[in-house]
Amino acid sequence: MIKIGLEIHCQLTTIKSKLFCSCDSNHRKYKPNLNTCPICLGIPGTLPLINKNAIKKSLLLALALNCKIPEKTLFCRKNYFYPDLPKNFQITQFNMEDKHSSIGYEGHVAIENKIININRIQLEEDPGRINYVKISDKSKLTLIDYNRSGVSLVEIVTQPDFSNNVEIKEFLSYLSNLLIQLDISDPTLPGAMRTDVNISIDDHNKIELKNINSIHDLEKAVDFEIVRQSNFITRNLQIQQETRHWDEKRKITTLARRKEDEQDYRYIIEQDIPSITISPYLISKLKNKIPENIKSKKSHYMKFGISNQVLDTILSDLYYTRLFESAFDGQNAKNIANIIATDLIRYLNTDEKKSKSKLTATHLIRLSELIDTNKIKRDLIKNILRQAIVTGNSIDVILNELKLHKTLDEDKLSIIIDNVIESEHDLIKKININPNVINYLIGKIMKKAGNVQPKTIINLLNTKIKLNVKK
Amino acid sequence: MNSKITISQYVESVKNGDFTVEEFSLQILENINKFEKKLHSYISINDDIIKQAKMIDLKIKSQEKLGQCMGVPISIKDNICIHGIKTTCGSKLLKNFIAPYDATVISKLKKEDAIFVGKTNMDEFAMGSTTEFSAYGLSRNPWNVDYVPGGSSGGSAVSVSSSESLCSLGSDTGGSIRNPASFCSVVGLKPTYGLISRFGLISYANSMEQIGPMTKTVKDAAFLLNIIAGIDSKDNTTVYNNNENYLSNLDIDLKNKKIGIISEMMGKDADKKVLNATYEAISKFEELGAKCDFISFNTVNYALAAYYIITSAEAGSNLARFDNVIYGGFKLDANGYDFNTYISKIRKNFGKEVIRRMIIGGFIPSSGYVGRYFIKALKIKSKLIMELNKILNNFDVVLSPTVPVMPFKFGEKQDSLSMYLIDLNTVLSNLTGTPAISIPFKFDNGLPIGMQLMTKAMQEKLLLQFAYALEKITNINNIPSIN
Amino acid sequence: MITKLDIDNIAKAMRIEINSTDQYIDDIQTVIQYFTMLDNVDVNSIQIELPETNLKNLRNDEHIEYDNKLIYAFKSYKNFIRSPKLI
Repeated sequence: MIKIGLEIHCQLTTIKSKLFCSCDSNHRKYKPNLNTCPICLGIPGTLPLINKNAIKKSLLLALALNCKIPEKTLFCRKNYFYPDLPKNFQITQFNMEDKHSSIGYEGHVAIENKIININRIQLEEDPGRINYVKISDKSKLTLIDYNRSGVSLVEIVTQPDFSNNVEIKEFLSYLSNLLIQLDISDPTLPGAMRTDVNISIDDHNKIELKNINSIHDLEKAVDFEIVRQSNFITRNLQIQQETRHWDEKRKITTLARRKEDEQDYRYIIEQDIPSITISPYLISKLKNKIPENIKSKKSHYMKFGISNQVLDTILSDLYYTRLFESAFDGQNAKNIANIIATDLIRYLNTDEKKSKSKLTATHLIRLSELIDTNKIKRDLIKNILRQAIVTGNSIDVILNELKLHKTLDEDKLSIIIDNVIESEHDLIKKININPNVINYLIGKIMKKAGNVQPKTIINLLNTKIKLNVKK
Repeated sequence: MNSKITISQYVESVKNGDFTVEEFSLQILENINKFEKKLHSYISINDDIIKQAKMIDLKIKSQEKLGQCMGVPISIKDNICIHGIKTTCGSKLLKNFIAPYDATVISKLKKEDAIFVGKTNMDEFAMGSTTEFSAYGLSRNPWNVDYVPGGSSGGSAVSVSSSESLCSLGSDTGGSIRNPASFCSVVGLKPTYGLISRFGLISYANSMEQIGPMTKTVKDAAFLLNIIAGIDSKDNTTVYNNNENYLSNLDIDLKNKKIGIISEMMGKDADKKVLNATYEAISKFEELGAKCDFISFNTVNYALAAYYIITSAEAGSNLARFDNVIYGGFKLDANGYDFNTYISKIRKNFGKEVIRRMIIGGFIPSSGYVGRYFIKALKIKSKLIMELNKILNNFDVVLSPTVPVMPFKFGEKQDSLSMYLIDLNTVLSNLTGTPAISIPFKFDNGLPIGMQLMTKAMQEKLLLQFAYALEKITNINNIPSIN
Repeated sequence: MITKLDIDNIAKAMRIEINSTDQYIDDIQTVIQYFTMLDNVDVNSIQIELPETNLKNLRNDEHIEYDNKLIYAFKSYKNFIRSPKLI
């Protein structure tokens, strides 16, 4: 039997400041080390000042994952020397002997065919980022950017309850939805959600996989590891308990360290942060914030005939979800969902584009009406959306413009112009002498071509006349 | 002008125009010139003292609003950050560390127009009880320069005793304020854990240590406490103190007050002279009408072990950041080294005592030992808190000698354990987070002996009242003639 | 009892180069030996009590930019902190 457990690290991207200082939680938009202060740089004499919102958001997640909540939560120091942690320890949570330290424990989530048990949920600080910069053929510099140092991370540790990739994908998509719907995190941001995996087969030793950067690679890594371990077993070889790294380029796992080389983290209690009491009042308040669980939300929308795939696309993105929900009135559900998941997604595929876009739910509602009354053809929708994103004009204004400027194919226009030139051969010779000639020609062309912008006609006409004269 | 006055006398004199702030500062600088070579209170001295004194004089002249310190020259232990000033912690590893911000206690003193004379000498990272473990050379006891001044806030105690400053801030993790206060015959207060912000105090054992005043008198200690105490948004461990005024109503009647003496703090290892002094102190209190009783507190026997276990483990973690990567004392180029080799070479420059504690501190929380030592020590700490509270339900204060031994000569205590045993009586208040004060009590052969009083958390006022009563009745001269 | 080898290993883990373990072994052994007195105390029924606080006492979630850009005060390389190489 294959047993797979997950350790998911997820940044609390929806809070404003870091876990222990007032630097920006959105660390991505800064030049190196300009989102730092004495606290997140570990300058001597500074103390961690815990963000109450980080506690609340992670508690909300713990409750949504049906965890038990400890009466008090406390922090620990994980001690190890590495330059991405300026203090050379990480403030995290860890059960020390009989002293419990977590945000939540013993939770569970029901996916399609089974229950996935949650071991614990803990809050900790993200380390800085290490960059390697080549300065010559031989040497490269190790450069650290502490902008990310101290950003809030929740770690979700599951029991080894998964047995294949389908279940893992289902769970992760459920979790992503949850994080988005509860406004805890946007896991689509680069590096916002990172997953480590542990895999064992039957009673053989457990292997941990680290350094996996996408769900796509996660599947590959799991597949590779299952085959690798199965081969060991069929050949009667001992599987060593070890940590392996996913090699993104070669698509294989490689040995990182054996169990006997595992570091001793010498955990101690973080006494700069008092033990925080979590009141039953707060818990009940947070519970009320959990609307209906994501699963029922999804099945709720599925009743409106929206496909599974389309719903997953929308519900795994906060922007699309909000757009969908504000446009939603029941009847238009399917139209709106399809517009978002098949058309809009092509134009608004980055955060920057999303934030600049002038498109609103009102646009989608009107579009859906027009589709229902057959007043609009599908191929026009893309054009209209593009206009709405840029201008923000109402759908009807955009439609009018599009109709007004509806151009003939250039080919057709070209033929009309050719015909006119042919029939007015004598007039064209006078074109440089009499300026009225051109106007006469345009009038004649427009009569045949309909509502074409004069400018288009002039351009085309001019080129053609030049060619004609040369002849 | 007498530079050997108290803060209250100073403030009064400046108000009355008896002398200017500049005149007094010059006197302090003169004392430094006279004694510093011999005593070595300071690691660094502020170049701008006179400039700052002149500015305050100007403020006085133009009747501008002035803070209550009125230019009091105060020395600061070199593990407390002052913006733009070197903060070395007595270590080579921080010899070029310039603090980029003010500690909360410093901001508060600046607001009250104090003048910082300089940064005082200390055992490296506050680990030690003699100030011999400073990377910048030892400090000497003003009462006899062949003797240690105590530690780790030795420089602070010496500067106050020798009037190289009017008062000082030290830090106390296991006696580091009270021990040198006792050895140098000054008043030293270790406040309740959380009463004073630790923001800007470079951590050694963060669950135990507090900043506290070191002064010539009990009243001066109350004066400084009024300024530096209080909740701080930059330190999550601080607690609200009701804006207590520690200076008011110091003089109370001790009639029928109850004083406990813990037998375990008067044990067989204590010096006879110190024990005798303590019996004298008991009689003095009885003269004042207080009732003194001996009590047994068995768990105290384990306090020192618990203390060294917890502090070493915390120190191992707190000092991990000193690796010279972002800041530090060394111009060692990173080229050619891998990270681990580089920082190990850098960290080789810790002094021997720090290295000893880092090794113990690495061992204690390692898997396999964490339960046997670390967790157990934390449980003993909790047990001590519970039992001491029970005792203090029956007694107003607990009296003991601050240090169970007399001040000793340099190099006299060689091995770590006998050095650690000096802290026997002081660690209890750090482990329990309760306030404790050391008051000059008497001299034996010209060497000072201090008495320690402890009480319940947040009861500093009560503690100061008892200390004030003892100070008044003993009335000893604590101005040394430095030879 | 803590051995020379233990001390070498711990020093390595604590990233402190030491020339000879000899100068530390006696002191450290004595101190650790002293700690073993705790083996005689029964604290099984004791819970570790820690200072406590309420959520309302904690920092509000506000982004406040730190005005003194510290990075310029340190030995930086194009705004980065340079670290010795990692293997």
